[in-house]
Amino acid sequence: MSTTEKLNVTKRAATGKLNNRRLRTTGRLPAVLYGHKEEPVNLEIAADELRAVLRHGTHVVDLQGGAKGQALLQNIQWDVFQQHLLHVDLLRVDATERITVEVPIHTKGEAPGVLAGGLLEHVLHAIEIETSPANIPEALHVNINQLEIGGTIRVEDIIDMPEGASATIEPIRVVLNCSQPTAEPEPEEEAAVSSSVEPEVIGEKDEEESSEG
Amino acid sequence: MALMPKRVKHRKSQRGRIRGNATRGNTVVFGEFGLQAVEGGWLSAATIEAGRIAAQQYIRGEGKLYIRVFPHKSITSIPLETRMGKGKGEPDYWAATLKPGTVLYELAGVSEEAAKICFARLAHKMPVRVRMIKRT
Repeated sequence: MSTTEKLNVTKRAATGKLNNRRLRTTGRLPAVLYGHKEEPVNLEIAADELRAVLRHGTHVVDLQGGAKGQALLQNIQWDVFQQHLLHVDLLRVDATERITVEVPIHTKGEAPGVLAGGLLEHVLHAIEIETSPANIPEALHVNINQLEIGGTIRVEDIIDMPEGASATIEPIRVVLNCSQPTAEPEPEEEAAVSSSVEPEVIGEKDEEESSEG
Repeated sequence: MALMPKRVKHRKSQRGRIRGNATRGNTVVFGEFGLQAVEGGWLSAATIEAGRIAAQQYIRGEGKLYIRVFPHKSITSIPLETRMGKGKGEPDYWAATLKPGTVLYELAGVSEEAAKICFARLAHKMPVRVRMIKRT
């Protein structure tokens, strides 16, 4: 179960692209807190502190400083190379309400189908579950010790769904399957010939017909 | 067989400029590991195919390879020893336009070490600098 961590935030008056870029150069991040039909609040957070929170797999944080209460890390924006944090959305939550979060699915054990030469294919890497903020798991697990070639594991086979939590998708949805790998056809020599063939041009025939008529 | 569109609206396209980073297709979606372009450029259909063959020869049916780019752009050229002018050349090959951050290939069902070696083989064939990324 993921724990709740403290996160120091301060209110942010300067908004906009220019100010946010300046803020990021100082090692702090722009953030926004919203939810519970209250006014959204612009905040700033120390990037290192947020990185530590993310590293620990935390979903819900206790806000301190410029804002109080619990908040869910709703959306985290990274740069294109996933190296620098850009922005974070915080959603106000309290212990009594139910929230929807996306949780990754991990496998447990070794599938006999894989040992026999099969290919383990993840159809779903993560699922959305509805649960209380105190019961958000770091990851859900499926046992693949019985998975043979041609077998499937479904959402209903998740072994450690927290008490009171439920998946928002149908329980019969396939999470992963084990299939026989298909042999790739060897590349043929005609590739060079085929590359000279041009695709059909949309509307070209109509023009020819109209010019003839 | 090299990739190519089935139907196009126009046979020839303008060169264009590659500006900014990839805002779509920049994360690992299907597999566990991905090969991401660090700089922009054109990736020809022949190179995409060469990469596919290099990867599949290494993984040999153990894992699954996903190609995340498609050559939508026709690149024209004029024949050698031709005088300049007389209009735009004829389509020569098809290419995918890459922006920094575009994920080119993905691998599923292989260990991290195998993916690393496989992508290293692929990286030698790529005309742009690339790096390996993991699912986040």
